[in-house]
Amino acid sequence: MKILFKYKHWIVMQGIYMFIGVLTGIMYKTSGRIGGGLTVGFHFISNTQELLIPIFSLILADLAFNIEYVEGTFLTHLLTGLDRKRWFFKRLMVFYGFLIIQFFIAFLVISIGAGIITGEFGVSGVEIPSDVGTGKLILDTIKSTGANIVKMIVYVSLAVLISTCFPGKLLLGSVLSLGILFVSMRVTNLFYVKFNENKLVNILADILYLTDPNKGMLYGIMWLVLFTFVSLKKIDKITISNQGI
Amino acid sequence: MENVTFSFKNGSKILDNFSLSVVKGEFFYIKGANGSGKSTLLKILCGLIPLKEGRVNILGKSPYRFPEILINVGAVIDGMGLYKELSLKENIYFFSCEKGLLENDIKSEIKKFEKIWKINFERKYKHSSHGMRKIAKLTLSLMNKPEILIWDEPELALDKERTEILLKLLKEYKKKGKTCILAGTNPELYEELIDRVIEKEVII
Repeated sequence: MKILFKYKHWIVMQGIYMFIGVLTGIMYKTSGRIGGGLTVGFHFISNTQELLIPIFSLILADLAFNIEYVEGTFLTHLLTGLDRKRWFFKRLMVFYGFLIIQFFIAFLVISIGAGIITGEFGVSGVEIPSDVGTGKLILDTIKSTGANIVKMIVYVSLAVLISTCFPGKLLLGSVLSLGILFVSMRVTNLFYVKFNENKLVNILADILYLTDPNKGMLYGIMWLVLFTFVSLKKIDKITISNQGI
Repeated sequence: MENVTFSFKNGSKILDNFSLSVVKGEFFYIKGANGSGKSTLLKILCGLIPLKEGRVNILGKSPYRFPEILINVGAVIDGMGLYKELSLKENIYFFSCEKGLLENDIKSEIKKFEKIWKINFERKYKHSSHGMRKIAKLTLSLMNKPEILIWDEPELALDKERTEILLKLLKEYKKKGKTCILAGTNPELYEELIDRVIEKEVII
């Protein structure tokens, strides 16, 4: 996993998260809202409508496989006697772990960025509705954060799957998956507007948007298993060309 | 290797009903012009390319179906890479662990090879010269004293002194009765060692 944190993609990403934190802090300040760094950070990780971290994480997709293929390390792994599927499964598990850690790093970096501007790093500005209570609020935050983590991994695993279809073509997996996500969301939105009361459309929206903390988690895991399974199938058929450096 | 036929998707044929057998202890050289498909042949031999026609066995097993057989093979093949952000030493350590070597053995072997090659493996891969990278890959392939060596142009990028060290290492390997398959354009360099040479021609 240590290797994953050494790629420049990752380092640049943290800079951008910091910048987003700073900008959000400026927005809070100029609009006169009270908001601590953690308040801003929590907004980004627990609001299931907020797509910044899941979408932005797509640029990491190449780290799972394509960079290994392009730099020839995939070939070196195979030459050590590892089974392709077993290697990739292990790699994906480590990669998903890396994404989860990255999710919380993003939270911290955004919080620090926002806190520097607002001058407060805590949770000031969080409003607890009187009928909800702190306990329920914490539980809901954990649930929606979990759903967001699953959503991020699902999006990235789709990009990884696409990258296994186009080995050696860097960024294609990320770009195509982004296109697929936006197009399918638009189409669902269209159906949603046209057939609002239709149960099937509602289910389709839940399956694609993954915004409902309860159902989103379930559908997300379903997608994740599917994408991982197909990626493993694809990896077995890849022909090794002279890519290494 | 028996009756192997292989073409790339773009249509270029690399092997046409090709058969080859190498016996234990034999030093074998595949000579061929650039682009004749030597590297692809070695990749097929190591089971890295799935075959539609023919079969390949190494130490009695298909390396594609039973990749673990490659633990007994030390291969340096065109296209093989190491992690750019890690040092040569970290790379050798990392991949040797994957081969199942123990930490202490790896450390002592790395030290041994640093002395043999007269090189320091502390430098990052991305800051290393082609020669150093090649030496690191050759070292990695030798780490677990494999039964078979499969090396693609091992002398490429090495200076004169390191080429002599390479030949010395191969001589010792041959003395131990181990097998070696080399590929390249320069069999003359290995004249004293090689038992057999075949020429891989470009298939039109």
